[in-house]
Amino acid sequence: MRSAGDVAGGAPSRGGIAEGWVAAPGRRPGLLPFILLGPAVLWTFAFFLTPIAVMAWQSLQRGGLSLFYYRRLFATPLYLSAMATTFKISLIVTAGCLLLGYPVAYLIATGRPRVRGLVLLLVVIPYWLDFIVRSYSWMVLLGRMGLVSRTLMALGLVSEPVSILYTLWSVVIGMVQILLPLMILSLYGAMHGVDPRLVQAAAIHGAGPWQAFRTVFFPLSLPGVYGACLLTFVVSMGFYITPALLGGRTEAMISQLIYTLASDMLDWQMASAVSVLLLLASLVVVLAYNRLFNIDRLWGGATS
Amino acid sequence: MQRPIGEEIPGGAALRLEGLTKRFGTVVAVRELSLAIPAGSFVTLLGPSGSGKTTTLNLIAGFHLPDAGEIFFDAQAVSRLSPHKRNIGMVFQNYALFPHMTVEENVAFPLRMRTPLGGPDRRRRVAETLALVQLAGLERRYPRQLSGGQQQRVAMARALVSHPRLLLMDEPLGALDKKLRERLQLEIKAIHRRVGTTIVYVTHDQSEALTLSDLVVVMDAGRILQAGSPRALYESPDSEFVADFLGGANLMGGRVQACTGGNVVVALQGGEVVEVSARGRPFPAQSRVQIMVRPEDVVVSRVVPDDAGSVVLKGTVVEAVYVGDATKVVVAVGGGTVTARSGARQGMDFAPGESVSVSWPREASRVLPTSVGEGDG
Repeated sequence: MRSAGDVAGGAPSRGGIAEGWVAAPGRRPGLLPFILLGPAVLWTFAFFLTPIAVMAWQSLQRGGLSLFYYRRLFATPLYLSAMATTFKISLIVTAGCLLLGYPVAYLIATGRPRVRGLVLLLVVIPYWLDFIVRSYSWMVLLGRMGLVSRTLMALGLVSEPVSILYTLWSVVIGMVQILLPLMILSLYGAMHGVDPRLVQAAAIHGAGPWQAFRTVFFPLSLPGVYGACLLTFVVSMGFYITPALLGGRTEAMISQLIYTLASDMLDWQMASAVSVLLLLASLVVVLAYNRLFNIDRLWGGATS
Repeated sequence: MQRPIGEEIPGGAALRLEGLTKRFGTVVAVRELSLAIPAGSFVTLLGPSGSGKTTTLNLIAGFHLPDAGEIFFDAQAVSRLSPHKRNIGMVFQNYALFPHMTVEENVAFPLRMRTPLGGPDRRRRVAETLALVQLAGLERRYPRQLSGGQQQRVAMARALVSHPRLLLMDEPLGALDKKLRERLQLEIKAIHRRVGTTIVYVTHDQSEALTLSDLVVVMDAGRILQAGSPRALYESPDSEFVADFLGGANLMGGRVQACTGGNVVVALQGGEVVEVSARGRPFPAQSRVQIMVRPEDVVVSRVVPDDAGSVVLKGTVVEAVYVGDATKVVVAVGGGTVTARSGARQGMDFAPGESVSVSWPREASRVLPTSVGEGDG
């Protein structure tokens, strides 16, 4: 999960930092950039890139260089179906976060300062709570004798205890809840940059509130929507704890398989190969996304 | 609102503000403001920042609800009407063009929202309006691909395209350089003559206000200090603030000694006693006043002019500056300095330190009551 997130965040910021230093007024780019970047670069090399390289190397070892584990990976339906499940869950989670998060982010971005502060606080508080704690509380809520089941029975909506725990949907619910703040904060960041006078300009030139939103605010928030969705999707792909606690055995996500391979079956080579697959899949998503939702094309693509 | 293309462009709406008040927290931005703006006129709200001019514009636009008072377009009360129902065009400071739309889409926006015009008719109206602001040929560009002056023209076109009966302009030329600003001022005036819509224009630039307007409204601290034609305001300001804000006024403090006939005798702070025209206004003896005279009315000479109809003060040249189209001479007199300004070729070649006399016709100066507790500039 962390690896994918870093890939997503690292690419756009690199150019900006370099340009900022070159453009610094009256100062030649000297040693300072290297001193400032140095520790982070070293850290990334030592504890991020090196392990990944070792892992990738390991996945190619079987008494010499070999693609054995990758052949096995693509020959075994389990791995590919887990990959498909991972994509499916990530997609549903991202869509769910977007649908729930967009209105909240809109409220924060356009509301009065007091509303903004309060809602922002409510969004951030759950973020301070650990993943595991939150996932466990969902187990309590969603189980056969959990709050949701009892409430439904008490209301007479169902006659027997129901449980959606250990299904795809309990995983989705848990992950949406955990990732929602990430989606909301990313969207808010982008919406905050939409000049409110543009909405005023739409209003004074005849657009009602809904039309002003549809023709001006929403299109201008789209780059933020794409960015926030990418971030949420890529982070979802590597989720482990929540699917492990709330998910069933039949629809495991890829990270659960990696864990099982590495710690239960001690098949480190295979675990490495699957990890490389996840990493490459995340990279492909990021690259495809960058091509598809290029910011320049976004500005240029709107038609009336 | 929905008129077919080719129909005569309607004139402007008459605008009336009655007792408008707007507070932000404890700050009163606009205070019981009343103003009648005739249909089709060009009105400028002029004042320093914080004077309430932009708030007034936002009230007219409908971006703010007034705490008290009413706004009338012709006979219709509109203060509770949302902005999109007011049929106004507006040019924003820094233009607020839609960055994700082309020039054509930006200009077509009000037509899409307000009129059933579609396809070729809409395109024709957009083209007409772009021609009006001299911007034909740039339809496919995006705002960020345009210069500041071009963006300003697009903003004008967008504001005018649906033939609104009222056009609001919020410091529309503030971001442009002086030369372009002066050219666009003339173009805006020409466009106003052609379309006949009522224009309310906000600026803090007095020369812009004087150039453009039929009616200038000088505001300070949320109130109207004086409203009138540019000439009336420039030549007959009725307060120190207005005289000063409209630029280049010499102001000399003093005390009224006597009123004789149509004149007032004032003892200036420097000790001189001058007699100036009262212009029909009564001034009680001993009241504190300011004498205002425009630099272009002041004559500097080496000999003392012997003219009973003039006010004469003796002084020393502090500075003589050639500014291209004029020469400015600053003369230290008893209580302060007097600035004189005259055409560059009129031989005002004085050197600092020279003893001179300054004079102006008695009728050229104004006596203003010293403002008490009013204005902060």
